[in-house]
Amino acid sequence: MALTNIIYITENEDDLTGFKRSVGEQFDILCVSPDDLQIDPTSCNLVLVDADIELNQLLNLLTNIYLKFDFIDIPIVLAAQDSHRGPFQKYLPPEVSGLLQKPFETEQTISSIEQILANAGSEPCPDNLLTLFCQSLITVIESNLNQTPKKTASYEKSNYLLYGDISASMELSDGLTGSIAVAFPHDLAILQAEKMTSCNRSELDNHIILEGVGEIINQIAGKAMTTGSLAGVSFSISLPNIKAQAGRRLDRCGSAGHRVVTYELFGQSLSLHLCLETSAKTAHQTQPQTALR
Amino acid sequence: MKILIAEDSALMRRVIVKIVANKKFEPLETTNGAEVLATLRKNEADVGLIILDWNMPVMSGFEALGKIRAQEKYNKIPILMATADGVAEDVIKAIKAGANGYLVKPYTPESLSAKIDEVLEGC
Repeated sequence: MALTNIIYITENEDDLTGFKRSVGEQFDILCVSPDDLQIDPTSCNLVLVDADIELNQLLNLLTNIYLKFDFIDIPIVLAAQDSHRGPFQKYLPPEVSGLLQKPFETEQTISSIEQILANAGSEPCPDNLLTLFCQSLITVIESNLNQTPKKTASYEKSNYLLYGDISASMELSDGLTGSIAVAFPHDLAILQAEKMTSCNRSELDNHIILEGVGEIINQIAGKAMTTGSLAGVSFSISLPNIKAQAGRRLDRCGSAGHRVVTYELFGQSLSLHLCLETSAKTAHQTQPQTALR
Repeated sequence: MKILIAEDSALMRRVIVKIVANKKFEPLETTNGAEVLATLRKNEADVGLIILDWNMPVMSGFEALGKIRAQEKYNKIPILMATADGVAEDVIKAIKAGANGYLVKPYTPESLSAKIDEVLEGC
């Protein structure tokens, strides 16, 4: 593994000493006080947060870190005693990539950090689902906009933040569990609405532009339902949830990872976001909404 | 003749209204199944076709379809389901529940226009 810089946010000297003793030879560790968040997000690979504090205090701290990072994609990990793992798992905010157990044991801690750095400890999106939804997106865009989107990247994201200015998500159930979303830059959403309605910008209200993005995810989900049903993949869909908000988070589902596929369309970038697993694998419920939202 | 459109997406309503108006029909816009039933009550004699989306808030298109067909006075109004869901079982379910036609999104203006003609001619 390449040199990894970890920022450990804690006031507990014993924990810091224990962490350095366990993994200090493997990683560069910088300690930061929760009251004085002097963090340079560009200089670290992972942020470790002492979670053995009162829950609301922790959520506030995570919010401050999140704001400080300004949506930069760096794993945030909580360090907690065994007794806290249950409640923290339950309230784990979506941008938290994992938990480390205290006291730190060298082998287990290094293994956990490596796993978190690889893919935030989540399971990759199954190939058949990835193909199903990517093909659906291409069909929907081609049909509506008469243009083929060009795939530019596909990767597992270590947090659950969506890209784009306007995003629309849908929840899936009955056979598949999780969420899917598309995210558009504002200008592309306008262009899409203009093309779909054959109207000029001046004729389009903002809510029509927003709902255009919602219609795209609705059609992608519908197309995937149709095609999937022929291949034995069946599921139900919710109504689209549309937001004009940068840095919005996708609902996290069990251990499913966050797969992002980006496309170029009319010289701009749109992204498809998937956090899915088959229902049989979803032994526990979707993570609840937290105070950070 | 009036065509009653039930579609929760404002963008898709704009698309459908344009197509309907181009065909010289008068569009009536609603955003869910409950509004369809309310609008039908007000325009009983005039509605010549209903275009129903399936996945809508408050009352889905499929539920509205059942409620419309359950009332004898609306029994002869042609209904076209225009929805993203193209799963064969759902198409059959809708036709059995009384839909006269089914069109899967994404569709082109031409295909919706042709489907409207087809449903009107068949009824």
